[in-house]
Amino acid sequence: MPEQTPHPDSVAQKRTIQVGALARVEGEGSLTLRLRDGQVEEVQLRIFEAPRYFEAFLRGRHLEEVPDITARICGICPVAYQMSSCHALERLVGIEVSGPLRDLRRLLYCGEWIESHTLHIYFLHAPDFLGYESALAMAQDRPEYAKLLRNALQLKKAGNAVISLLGGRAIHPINVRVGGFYQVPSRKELIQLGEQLKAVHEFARQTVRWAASLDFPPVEHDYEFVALRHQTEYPMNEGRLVSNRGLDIAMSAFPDHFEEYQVPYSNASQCRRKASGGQESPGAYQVGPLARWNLNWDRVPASVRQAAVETGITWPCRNPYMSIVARSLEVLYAVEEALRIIAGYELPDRSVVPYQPRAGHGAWITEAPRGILYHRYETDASGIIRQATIIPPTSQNQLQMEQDLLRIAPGLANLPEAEAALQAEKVIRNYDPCISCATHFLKLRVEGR
Amino acid sequence: MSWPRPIRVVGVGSPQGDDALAWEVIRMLQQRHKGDNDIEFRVAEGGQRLLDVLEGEGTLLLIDALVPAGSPGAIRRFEWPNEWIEVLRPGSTHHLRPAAALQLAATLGMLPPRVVIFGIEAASLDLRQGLSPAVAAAVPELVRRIASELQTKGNIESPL
Repeated sequence: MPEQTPHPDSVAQKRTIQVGALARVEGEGSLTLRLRDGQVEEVQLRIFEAPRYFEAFLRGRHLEEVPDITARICGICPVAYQMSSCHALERLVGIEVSGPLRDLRRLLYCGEWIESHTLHIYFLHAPDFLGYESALAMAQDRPEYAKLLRNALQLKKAGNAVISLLGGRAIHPINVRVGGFYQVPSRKELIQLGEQLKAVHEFARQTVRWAASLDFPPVEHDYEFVALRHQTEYPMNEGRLVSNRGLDIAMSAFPDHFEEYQVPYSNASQCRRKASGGQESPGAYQVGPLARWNLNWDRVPASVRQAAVETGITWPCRNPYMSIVARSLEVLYAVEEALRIIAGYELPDRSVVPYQPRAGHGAWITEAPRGILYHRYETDASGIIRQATIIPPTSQNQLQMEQDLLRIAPGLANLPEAEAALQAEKVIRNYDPCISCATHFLKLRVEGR
Repeated sequence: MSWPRPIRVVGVGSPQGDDALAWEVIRMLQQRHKGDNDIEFRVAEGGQRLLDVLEGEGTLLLIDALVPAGSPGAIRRFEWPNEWIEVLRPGSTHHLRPAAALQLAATLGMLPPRVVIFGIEAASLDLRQGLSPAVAAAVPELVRRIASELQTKGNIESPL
């Protein structure tokens, strides 16, 4: 709930708007806006969830244990953590996973995108556009919304089914390992899975049309969008790191161009571009579905591209509220990509590529539902982790979220507290932040009018 | 009147501390009903996962830890809906609590017609390893009560 902070200074015209617990985001955080004479003095996105120390937990563990430990970082996007871990460690030990095992990993990632994106589109983000407090309120108010949410749950369940089959279970999967999988599915199991995906394919198409029909605030910002780009595929596990401002680097060069830093008011590190990416917002950049789609819309099949054209939106798009449409296009893509992989699946000769531990370091980036996820590991000769670095997408979007809030802050100065808080929360929900990953709810605090 | 089929028994909770009591109850019930295809046992780590297993038919038996209220280990039984169960507004899907998930499922027409909730009052919901002595002592009794109801109301024979 928003809180009004009484201010003793009646001359200086100060106001603090505080969103005490940000709703409909994954995790706990708060937001403070300080205004003086209607001008914004400061925006602080505070993440007060306790630090989680995963990088420290990993030190001293064998590299084989890493995917099972990192899968515990998030209940919504565990596959992303497993994928970045595995690829970074495979780079380190000098193996490459190809053929059907590579396809199965991509299929697993499709499952996570379907599940995570569908949850955000319908259960967290949709109430913002339709004027409801929650998805429950939507469903209680209108039968057509209840039907929409029922269908959304079926779509999400199809994503869960992919993760359950390939990951061993729907939450914190246990079947992924460095070099491949512990067990691979039979062709028959995948054909059954394909039937479940076919059943939700049309609803995924409808989701794109529905998302595009929402009313969006008419705003555009000059973002630097950052995402992976692959030679032929829509990026998930591989590619170069690119941006709309000319960044084009190998993923291992990430630390040369990006830096993590601490802010005193938050338990999560933030990440920024070393060389100022945006002139409008120095250091800030955007990752996630809108960035990915804007940079890679030419990498999807004609059917998905046609769906994007039919939205009537000009791509690339710089309206942050339209991230919901990019997210829906990625769901459609993930369903079609999953069906393509299933149709071509041949049982692999082996479930894992063998390897020998060695001393060294390896880094990799994969595309988590919320954007690029960087992992880097160092091991000794016996494969014991000596150092681990994990930079989740929400840490990378935090500075951009603050910059977006700065832009709307002057307009909040004279709004009632509850309305100011809602407008600020909407800005943040465009990013589908997973605050749990980054270190949970938002408090908005605006100081000074 | 006997319970409608299919019968699903779902334990809700995390694997930590007393919140893990439902995991233990499900494990013991699974052992007891091994090979019985008339009943499905599941564990759901929170309300969001609970939504995934609701299909709007049959009977749902839900097992959960109850917030400490001075009687650790006390066993309670509720029929849904129930005025004593507080539905908290979910802040996120990470935090969708079982009661809120049941309310959403009911609104969406996905709630089984019969929902029975069994709970054990936790001594503490702090993160730690293993159940507290009071809760650990209550688990076998809850398993016995559920097995008994499965037999009398679900027409499912209990082999033990």
